[in-house]
Amino acid sequence: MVILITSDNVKYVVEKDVAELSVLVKNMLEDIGPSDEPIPLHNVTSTVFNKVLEYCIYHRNDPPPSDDDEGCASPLHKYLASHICSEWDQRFFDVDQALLFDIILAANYLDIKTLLDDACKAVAHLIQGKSTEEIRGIFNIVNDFTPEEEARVKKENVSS
Amino acid sequence: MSSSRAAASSAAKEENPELARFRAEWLAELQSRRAAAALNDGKIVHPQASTKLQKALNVYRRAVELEQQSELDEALLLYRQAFRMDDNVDRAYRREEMLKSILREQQAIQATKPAEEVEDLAASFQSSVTIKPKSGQSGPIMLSGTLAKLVQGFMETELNFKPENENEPVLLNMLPEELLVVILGNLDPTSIERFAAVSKKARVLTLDPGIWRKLVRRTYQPPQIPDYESIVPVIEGFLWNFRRFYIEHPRLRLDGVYIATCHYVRPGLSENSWVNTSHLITYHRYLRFYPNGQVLSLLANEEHPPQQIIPILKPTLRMNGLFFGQWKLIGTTVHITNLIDASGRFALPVSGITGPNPPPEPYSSSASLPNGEKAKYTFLMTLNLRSRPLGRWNRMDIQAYESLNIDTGDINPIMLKHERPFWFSKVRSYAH
Repeated sequence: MVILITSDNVKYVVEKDVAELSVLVKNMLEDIGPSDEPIPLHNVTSTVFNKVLEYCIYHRNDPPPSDDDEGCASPLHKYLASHICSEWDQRFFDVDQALLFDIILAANYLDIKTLLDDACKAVAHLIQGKSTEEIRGIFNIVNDFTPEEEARVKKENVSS
Repeated sequence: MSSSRAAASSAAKEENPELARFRAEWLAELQSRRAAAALNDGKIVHPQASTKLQKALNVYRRAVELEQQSELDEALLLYRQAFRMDDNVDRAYRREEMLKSILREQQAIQATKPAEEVEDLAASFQSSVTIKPKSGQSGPIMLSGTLAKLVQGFMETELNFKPENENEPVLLNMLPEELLVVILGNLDPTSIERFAAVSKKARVLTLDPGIWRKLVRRTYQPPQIPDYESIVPVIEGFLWNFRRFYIEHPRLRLDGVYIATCHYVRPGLSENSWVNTSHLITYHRYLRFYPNGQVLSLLANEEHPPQQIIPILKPTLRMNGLFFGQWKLIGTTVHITNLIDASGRFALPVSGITGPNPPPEPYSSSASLPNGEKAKYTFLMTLNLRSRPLGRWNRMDIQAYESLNIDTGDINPIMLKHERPFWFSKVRSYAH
């Protein structure tokens, strides 16, 4: 068992294999050796950590990700990877933007590659297939081009 | 344009001894690999082929190379020479090419690995020939033309997404640029470019070379290119601007179907001599390309309109006018070979098609065919790929259509009278 404390001082007692899905925690455990010292997670609040933990427990038995997801992955692996977003994952990431981005930041900080990748895919899913105007609406982004700049950007853009 | 690019890149090389060394190493690697490939080629050549024919073939091969480099006069001279040496040199050449292409296909799996080398090479070149922008991007940005000036202006100030509704924040600003780039790396080119038009920051972010490098590496795999070595100089010519390379370098679209709508007028029977009846006949040619090198060619008449054909145009389909073949793209020339009747009347060769990617559909075997009769002909089609507008690679014109008698190896051109260009249509269900 590993004791983790979030930035808002909530204490979690987590099984070692789950905690070690975070490379940050894994390295810390290796550094301090066997000890009951709680590990502080400075950049993660308990709200976000609840989600992270939910993900890690659900995916605890997944095969570890390869270091390089692009280069040497076999074609079959790539094919599967693009289809791997399960129903559970879809539901898991069906949260508001603030939480989704917090999950990304937490996954990045805790170094949980699969969660980071999946969460980034979930954001990409919001953008994929949408028009420029729709994307602005989804993220509340104002068009800050001058009309002249916009014309030039459009001219240079290539859509297929 | 290209000469100035080349000049710029060679200048960059001279300035950087490490780059020069790397290039030398890379060339050595290339040569050793070519030598190995030449050995392999030697094995394919028919043992019974006479040395005279061999010599003619060598001349013919050089002529083809020259023709591909648009050295037409010299190519013509060599073609003549080759034919003088042996009348059948063109057939022999095609046969050899066919055998080679089949062999290459079998070796295609092994070819997937050098992609990483392109990547490494790219990274190495990139570090020295590109400019680091001011804002802390995850990688250097290479730009050219008007976009460069435009983006330069954007980068002089700290860029942020600004809210449309000012009472609400833009939550996307929570994420650092390197994570935004990871997100964008999951999108297809169309979505990336649409996102780019959202705002200044979006435009700058979407130029991240990592995003386009990944797209280039995924897209430009055989049979989209002859081999990895051949695209490296081209990428270099684009000064490692992978976005421009992606836009400007020919690629066949695999996310839809190319359709040619052809018409002809057939004189009808008239009831009396005062009236002339004629029928306007419409038919469609379809070409659907798969990443593993398989191509489906279908000629269908008015009874089967496109909206009916498109959903069923898969390797499991059997209908009159359907052919299965193999494709490869060299420059802007699409070579389709081994087109074999897939109407169901003939036995199909049990899938000799293996490629770098698993076939998208199970390739049905010929086990259930009523008789083991084999087709007598295969067909070859050569097309020219074009893009209108830039970056779409959406038009093809048939340059040659030929039949090959499987027993004799004779190749005969087929006259095409009513052909119209193929135009690309994106098909959502084809996206992979």
